[in-house]
Amino acid sequence: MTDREAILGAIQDRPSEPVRANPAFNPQPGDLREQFRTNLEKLGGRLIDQAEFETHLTRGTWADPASGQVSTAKGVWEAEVGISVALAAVASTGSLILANTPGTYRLSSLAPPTSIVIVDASAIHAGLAEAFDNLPSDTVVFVTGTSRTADIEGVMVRGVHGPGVLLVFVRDP
Amino acid sequence: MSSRVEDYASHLNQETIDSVRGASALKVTSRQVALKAVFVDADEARANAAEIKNYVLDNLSKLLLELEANCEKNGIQVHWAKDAAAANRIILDLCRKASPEGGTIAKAKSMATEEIHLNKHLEEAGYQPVETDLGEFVVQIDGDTPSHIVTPIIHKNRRQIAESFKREGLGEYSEVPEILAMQAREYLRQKFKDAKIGISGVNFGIAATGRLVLVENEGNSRLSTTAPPIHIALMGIEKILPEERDLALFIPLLAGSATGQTVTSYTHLISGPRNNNLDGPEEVHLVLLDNGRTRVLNGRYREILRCIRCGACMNVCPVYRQSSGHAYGHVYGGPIGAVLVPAMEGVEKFGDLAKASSLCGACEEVCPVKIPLPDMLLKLRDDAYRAKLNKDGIPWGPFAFGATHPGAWRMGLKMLPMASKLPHPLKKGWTESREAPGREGRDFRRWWHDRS
Repeated sequence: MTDREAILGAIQDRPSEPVRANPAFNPQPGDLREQFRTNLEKLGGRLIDQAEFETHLTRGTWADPASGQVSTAKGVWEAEVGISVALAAVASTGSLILANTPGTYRLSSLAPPTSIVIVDASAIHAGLAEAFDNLPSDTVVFVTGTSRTADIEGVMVRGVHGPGVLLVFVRDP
Repeated sequence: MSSRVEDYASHLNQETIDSVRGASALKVTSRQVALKAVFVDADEARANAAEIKNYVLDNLSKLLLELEANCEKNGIQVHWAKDAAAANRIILDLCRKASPEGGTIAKAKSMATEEIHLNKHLEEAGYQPVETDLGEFVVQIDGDTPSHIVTPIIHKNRRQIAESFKREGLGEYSEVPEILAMQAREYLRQKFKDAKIGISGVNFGIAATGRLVLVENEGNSRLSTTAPPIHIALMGIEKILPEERDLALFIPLLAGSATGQTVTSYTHLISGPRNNNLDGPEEVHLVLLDNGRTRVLNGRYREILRCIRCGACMNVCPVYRQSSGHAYGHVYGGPIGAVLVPAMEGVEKFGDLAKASSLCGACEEVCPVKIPLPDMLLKLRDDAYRAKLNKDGIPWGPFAFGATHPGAWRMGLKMLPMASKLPHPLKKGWTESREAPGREGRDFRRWWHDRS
């Protein structure tokens, strides 16, 4: 008998109707863009405008091809700044949703100490329920604030393995 | 038989007690604040989560087959392990195939790998598994074990960590948490680049889409599952959720209960190996682990399998706070460990853990999936008693006779003044350092009878 058979054989299902997740979330003040900004800032992130975004492009950055700005002078591990394009954002949590679509890196938002993420203003979901209902089939990561740890005496430290600086450029159409 | 937890706690130093107690108390407060801010009614959310997990347990074989089929569709190779030995063998075979000459393995934090003592097996086979979560890394270089399922070094302070880092040559001695974290970042960066294999656990396996969900704050889990050419994930068979929509409930419940966050920094939904991407693993393997879980499923502690490993029950437990997770003698400590461990591994070996509780009920109050932990602890005490484990040396038989026979009881009370003059083995512990108190005042029964 294989382990698969042994495990499945030891389980007797009691068939029942699926239960739907229906969490009720507290409303937050402001429009979606305002909520996103507030929550992002609480977690150590910051919004930047187009002018500031462009200064980073000239700083020997490393960019994700999807942003249309590729500079591979430095590898993704050595770059100071990584630029990624988010599929969407979540207002109620300040999260950015990055999809690993063909031709993109997973590490561009993770390995460099500064992460810059571009997101379209029209792609901000209200909450997590809408976000999870609209995911693509690619590998996806929700980035919510900077990398952080509180393993040492509960003291919060940013940028332990991932980026300690998170800058977001909300692009208007 | 006294409980191993009691024995351990009685020898614990004050520094450790202070570390554990302080950090636990902080997390209890931040949990309350986070859940209250997120949910209109956190209790309703917990009840909803409990129902979904009950559905999972009631339909587990169906959901496992669905998960397997969808993972395979995504290019994730699925393996089944009935026990720890099988899981270690499967993982080791995969490592030997990927890197026969040994080498570095980047490990993300995973209680399931702790449960099967994977690192020991990998090391014996010539591999260097490196724990990359900051806390787990400290545990590993110190040859220690995690004392909490979410915050593994809750029992250590910054001075102890600084000394370990200096000893291991990570940098100059510093008690500044930022500097210590950067020393670890620097050291572990190279390990991620060197690693031939990445190993992680799984927080939720989504049956409907075949995706593996991992939550974390540091980024080490993403690095471990992205940088090496092979990713192996180990998942307990109960950690399934039916669909992705369930995450909108479970992610904030887990983050709030575990660390007082709304969402952790990274919520990773892994769809499989790289797919015309510029990085990511070429192979992804999922190992489904039973190791006693089907036994629990078919027994009276079934509901413990709803657990999502947040550690809130540990933080709030007065016994855990006073004794630290190591006292429980297993990777799972606190109230969850006191039930899960004897349920999985047998009451004969771990039945005494159920005594490590004041039955105050705080654990059930905070559990995000409403596991009736105090009820289960009582049932376990009963099981342990029936297995003739909890013998405390007190002859309860005569007491039971007296308590159920009022005549004998009254007779006994009349004789008590005389009996208390007699030597008795039970009195010895008390009278070694103090005088036994004498009888004072009037007889209660006489007073009650005469009072009108």
